[in-house]
Amino acid sequence: MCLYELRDVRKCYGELIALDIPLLRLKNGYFYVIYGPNAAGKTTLLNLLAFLDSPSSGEVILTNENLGRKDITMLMQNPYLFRTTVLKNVIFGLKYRSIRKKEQEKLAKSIMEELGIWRLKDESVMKLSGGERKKVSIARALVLDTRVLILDEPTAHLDRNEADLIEEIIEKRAGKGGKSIIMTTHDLNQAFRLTDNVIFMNEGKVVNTQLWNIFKANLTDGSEGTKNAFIKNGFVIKVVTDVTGQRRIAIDPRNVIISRNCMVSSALNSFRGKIINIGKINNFIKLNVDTGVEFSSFITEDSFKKLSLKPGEEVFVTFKASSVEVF
Amino acid sequence: MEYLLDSFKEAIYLLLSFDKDVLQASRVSLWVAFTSTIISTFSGVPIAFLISFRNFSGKRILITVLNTLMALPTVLIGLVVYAFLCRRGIFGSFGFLYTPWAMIIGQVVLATPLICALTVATLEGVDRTIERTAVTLGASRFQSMLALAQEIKVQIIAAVIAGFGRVFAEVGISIMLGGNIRFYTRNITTTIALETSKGEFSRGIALGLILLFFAFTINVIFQVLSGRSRITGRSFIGA
Repeated sequence: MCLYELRDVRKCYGELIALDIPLLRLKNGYFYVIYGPNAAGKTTLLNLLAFLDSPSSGEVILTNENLGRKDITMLMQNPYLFRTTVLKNVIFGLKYRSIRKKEQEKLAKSIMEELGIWRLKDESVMKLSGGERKKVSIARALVLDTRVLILDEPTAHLDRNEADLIEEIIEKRAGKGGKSIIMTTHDLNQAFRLTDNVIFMNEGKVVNTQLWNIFKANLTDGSEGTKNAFIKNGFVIKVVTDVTGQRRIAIDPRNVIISRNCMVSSALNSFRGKIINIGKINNFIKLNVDTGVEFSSFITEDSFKKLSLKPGEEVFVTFKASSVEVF
Repeated sequence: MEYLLDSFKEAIYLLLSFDKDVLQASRVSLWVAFTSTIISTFSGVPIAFLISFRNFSGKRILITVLNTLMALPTVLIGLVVYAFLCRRGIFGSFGFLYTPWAMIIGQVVLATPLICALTVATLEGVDRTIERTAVTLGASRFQSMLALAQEIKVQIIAAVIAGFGRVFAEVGISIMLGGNIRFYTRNITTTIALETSKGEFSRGIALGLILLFFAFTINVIFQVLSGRSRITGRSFIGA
């Protein structure tokens, strides 16, 4: 069942197009993480989904007829804490929901204990540290237990342990009782840790590629059917596209092949480099290879074992010109 | 200096001796100023929110007009309101002229633009995250504005204090619309004007000191009320 449907949505600030989404459907009861670099349009999208802002054109439709404004809560990236005590901040939204005072405190206590901030209940928010303030704002959003929870970078400004705790609490709520969670992050590892439903955004658009291997490039005419994308220091990537000029290009790391020797293949892009990092993401091994330009590649564990790769070793990075996406 | 000292002694004497004229003038001053300030607050503050939160053509001009009205001379207000309240005026049949109600009407005209303009200035400078945060927590538009008002109540109280100070100390409206009728519309400022015209400078200054004493006491009360909620700084995450 669909929760949101966005049709031809554009959000403009003067000349700037902050968001441009022809069609986006978000399902009910799912946990979505929106990933993208700064200024990708993540917060703009969340503001539209929370009905805080209206699109400049197009429609944002909450397709579930049973849901209303009070079924949506949003935790803003820089939430404001009201100039009162921690407890009064946490129960702030409950007051709008005709919940009895005793019940308000009981609900607040439960979530505040989970976040480890119950001891701060009578403190003025002005006395709190940045991390504590963030937790208070998270508690204030979670205590409402709404059907749709929108979280804009909930773990920003938190240390690793605190971020882990928040992730755990959010994960626990995901999918519980048909709850839908839409969250943004610029930490891709976090995105994949939390869900399989990662939406990638870049420059106001939802993109179909995973946002590794993004480069600013100057596209010029190359040999027949391809263009040369100049990255930096004369590094050139062959690209299949009709456009020229300053653009961003991206290569899905799943399409980047790693080999010990130079491959004789139809792929036009092959570079020699050194493995500088090896990590794990879901079922893949992620390799970072420095070829003068750093590429990320996802390979299976089987391939990784077969090639028995180690950091510092020389390998070849190969990908097709047609696998390069131009924005 | 001796002249001032005598005035100060007379002020204390007038207060402690419960001088009937002084008490009655003080009562009229306080009652009229409080009533007009309350009316101005309940009209000026909501108008400020409407101006600030709605986008309409001529908004900047309206704010400029409001700011200009802050400098409106009290005698001019007295004159204009007089034109409405006199026998031949549109509201002449109500018989308000030379009553405390006429003074209240004039003072409302004086204080409302002031309270409104100062509140608009506060709202223009306030971060809208407050209102948006309330909306994200389920507040209606009206509730979110109340939440915002709660957050800027110190500044609103400051605007109200400014409005009260302006009406409590004015003399032009009180004389023109109240008529300075003893035990009825004569307040502290009109008494000062009267005593000075009679050459009773010492009594005039004494009454001026009493006026300042009341203004000071009322301001202290306002400060105590607003001081309870005053917290400096802002509470943005990561700011």
